[in-house]
Amino acid sequence: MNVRNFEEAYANLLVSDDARETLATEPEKIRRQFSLTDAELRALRSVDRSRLELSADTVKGVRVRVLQRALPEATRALARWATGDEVLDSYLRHCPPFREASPNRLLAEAARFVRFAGGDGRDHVPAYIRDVATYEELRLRLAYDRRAGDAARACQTEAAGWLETLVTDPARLVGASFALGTHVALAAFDHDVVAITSNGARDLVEQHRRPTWLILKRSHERMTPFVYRIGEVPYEFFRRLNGTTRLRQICSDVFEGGPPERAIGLVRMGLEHALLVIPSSSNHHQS
Amino acid sequence: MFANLPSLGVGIGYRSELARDIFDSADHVDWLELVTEHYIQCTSERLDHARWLREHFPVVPHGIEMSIGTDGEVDSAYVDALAEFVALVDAPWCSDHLCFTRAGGIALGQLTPLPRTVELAATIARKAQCVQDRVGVPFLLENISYYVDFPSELTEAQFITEVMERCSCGLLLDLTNVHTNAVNHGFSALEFLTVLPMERVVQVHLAGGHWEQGTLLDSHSHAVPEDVWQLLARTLELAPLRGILIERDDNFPADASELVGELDRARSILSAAAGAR
Repeated sequence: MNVRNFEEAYANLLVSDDARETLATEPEKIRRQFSLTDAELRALRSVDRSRLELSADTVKGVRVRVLQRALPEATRALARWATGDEVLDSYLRHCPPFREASPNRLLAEAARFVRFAGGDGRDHVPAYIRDVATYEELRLRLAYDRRAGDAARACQTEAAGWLETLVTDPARLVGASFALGTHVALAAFDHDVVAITSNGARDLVEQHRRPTWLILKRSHERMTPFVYRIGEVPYEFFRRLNGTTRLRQICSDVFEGGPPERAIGLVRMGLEHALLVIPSSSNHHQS
Repeated sequence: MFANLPSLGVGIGYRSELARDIFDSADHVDWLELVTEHYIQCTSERLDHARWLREHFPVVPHGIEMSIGTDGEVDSAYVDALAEFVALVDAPWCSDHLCFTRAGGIALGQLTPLPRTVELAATIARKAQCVQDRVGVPFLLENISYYVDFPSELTEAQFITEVMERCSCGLLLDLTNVHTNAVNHGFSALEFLTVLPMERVVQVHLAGGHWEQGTLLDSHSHAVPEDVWQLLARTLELAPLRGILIERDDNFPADASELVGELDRARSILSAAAGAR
């Protein structure tokens, strides 16, 4: 027996309704697809169909439970949506659990659903549920990212030195470049996902349809990220901090050449809340 | 082979939903089993959590994603991380399942039965031995429940025995899985035990399932059924058990009394068996 081929075929039967149907109606297709021998194909065909469906349902059930843990509010909202069950079924059918970059099952399933909601499922998943799913996936990603925890710790230390520079020589900052740490994420939504999730997605969605800009920050002390609401302009400002572009240039782009005070204020906020990572060493010599 | 292993007594599978009950009933809980994947390749907070649990209870890592039955070698980074976790919590042994959970790029997330051939048993035994050698403590393989059964060269009991005979690893005998498979596939659970190398059984799992569409499901969602308690008593006559563990993953009881009752019942069966020796 070729274990690889047999396991691949069986795994496909468990995650694909179409493959199970094909096994029943056109077994030769399955044989060719997985290069099965006569004995291997016979073994698969001898399986009781109802038990095979039950096993496939078990795999789906595990996926749904993982998704509910990963995206609690998005899945709750989906369950209340008139066609939520159909959407979920469509997701499970069209997005088999191929291995993701992350070995973490919560993250993998959450990322898969967010891709589906913004892609093939876009016309069927309500926009506010897409937003909530994206928000919850982002929070989850920050919480479980080991590098984020380390970055948060490092950032705290570096920020102190730059806050001192702010007091003694604020003008020096405009020649420096900053970046958001890997423990920080920026996000923009069409709905107020913070209000929706804190209300358990119970309110009328229309009440929460408003542009929302957020900074999410993972601290080194707790996994659940802090969430800061910001305006559109600060969002644009922080979005352009890439570690190489000087603050002077960003000021010119975002504030249309206005005085740098606003940018310095935002940098101060970024440093005080430990959002900004260590600037490159050359920053220390800028004047 | 496992004579130097400590006897851990009766424990429970740690789940965050049960955390309060576990600590409120700590006098009834001798040890904890932690899901390996929750504590490897993870954040420092998770490791702190494992250390904290270890301060209160002996801890044994129990994996669900090694997928030792998948064609090819076991992921060495995974095994290295498991070894680190075993050392971190000073575990007396660790375990995973005799099954596959991945194939052809698909991550099933479900313990899936293997084609039972002598050749595959030999391959798995070799891989299990490598895992055990790397982690430095006994590595136990657990029998799974399955709803689909392929016509195979070996019966399930023969397959498990074949693996065990070709390595020095231990067996984690899930008695609920034995019972569930016996019910669903029409064989005698007691006879199943007589085929296994019971001297290799280090630990057992107990849980309760439910019926769906005429099939008994291993859902870990209900109390341990009477038949499984009887299997425990029989197992204690045959195997030098070092640990009994209750699993609950769904339909969590409203208070700790049901689980405490099960822990106490397991302990009394264990005591009775010890007295009878």
